[in-house]
Amino acid sequence: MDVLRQLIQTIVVIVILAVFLEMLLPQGDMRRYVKMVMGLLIIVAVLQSVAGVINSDLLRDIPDVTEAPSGYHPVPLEDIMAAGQSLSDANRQEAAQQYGRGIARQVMSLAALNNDLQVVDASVQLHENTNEISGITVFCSSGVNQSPTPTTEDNAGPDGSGIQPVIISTPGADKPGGAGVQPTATEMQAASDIAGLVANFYNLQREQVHIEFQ
Amino acid sequence: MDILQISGIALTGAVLAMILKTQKPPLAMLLSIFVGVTIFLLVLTKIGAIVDVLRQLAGQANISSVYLGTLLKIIGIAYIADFIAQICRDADQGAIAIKVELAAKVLVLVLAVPIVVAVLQALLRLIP
Repeated sequence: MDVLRQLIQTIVVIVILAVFLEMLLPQGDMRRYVKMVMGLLIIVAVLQSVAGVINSDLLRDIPDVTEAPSGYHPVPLEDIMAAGQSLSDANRQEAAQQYGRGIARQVMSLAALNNDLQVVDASVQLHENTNEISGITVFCSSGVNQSPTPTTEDNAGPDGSGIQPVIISTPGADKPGGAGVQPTATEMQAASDIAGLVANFYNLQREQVHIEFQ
Repeated sequence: MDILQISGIALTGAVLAMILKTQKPPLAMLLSIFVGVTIFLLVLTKIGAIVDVLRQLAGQANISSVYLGTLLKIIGIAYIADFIAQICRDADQGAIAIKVELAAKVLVLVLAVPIVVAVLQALLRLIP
């Protein structure tokens, strides 16, 4: 009922406005032309009001004759498009980051299957446009598993007391300057195995998987 | 009382133009143009109040100011064209007056084209 009341009110005001404008028209030959345009405007306004009542898209291509009633400031279309593009880019970037993190966790789980090397971290490089995996880097800790894992048979220490000696060492401490990391042959073999496993699992070239020792 | 001023200007101008017309017809025509422009400028200051009322009415009906602006432009074109065409006819230049009116009609139609297209599209969409 309120909608109908609003519709009638709008049409009445439009007709009064048209009559008031008609009084302003010149007397000459131009009067007919201006009256025609005024009539068209009234038709558009009425059609828009009726379309609003029946929720139709009758006037979807017509610029709005009526505007929002209170406090509405229309935003330019370019700004809306730019904001939508920016939001889309941000969402795509966030999705790519989450995808990369998920793949990195999978890579770490795969690499952890190899007991000869301790995997510290993994990072995944993705193509900017296609979001395909362009490379995987696995960070390993060198010198952690240098001694073989003790079995139940050799649990006893050298003195037979069952206590293993504690060896404290830092990576690269035996190098001059202490900066470089030199993995052992076992670790190199394990790194190669891990790289092959990861490359096969994700259908990558072997060269796309890098192992870095820390 | 503005109407007294306008009436006085118009009456004086008419008498002077009538006297001048017998001796110097071009000057009489110039005088009539001057009087017309003066009256037009005097009234022009009052039109702002009418436009304000129109804007209020349009705002009450939620009609966009763009459309009201178009309508006011069309009325302005019609008035100016009518005014100039009348002056041209007074100067016995009926051909020029017709051209001015033709130009005004074209300009009015150009301004009305978006509205005509909108109505046409709406009507075509009504047909199933």
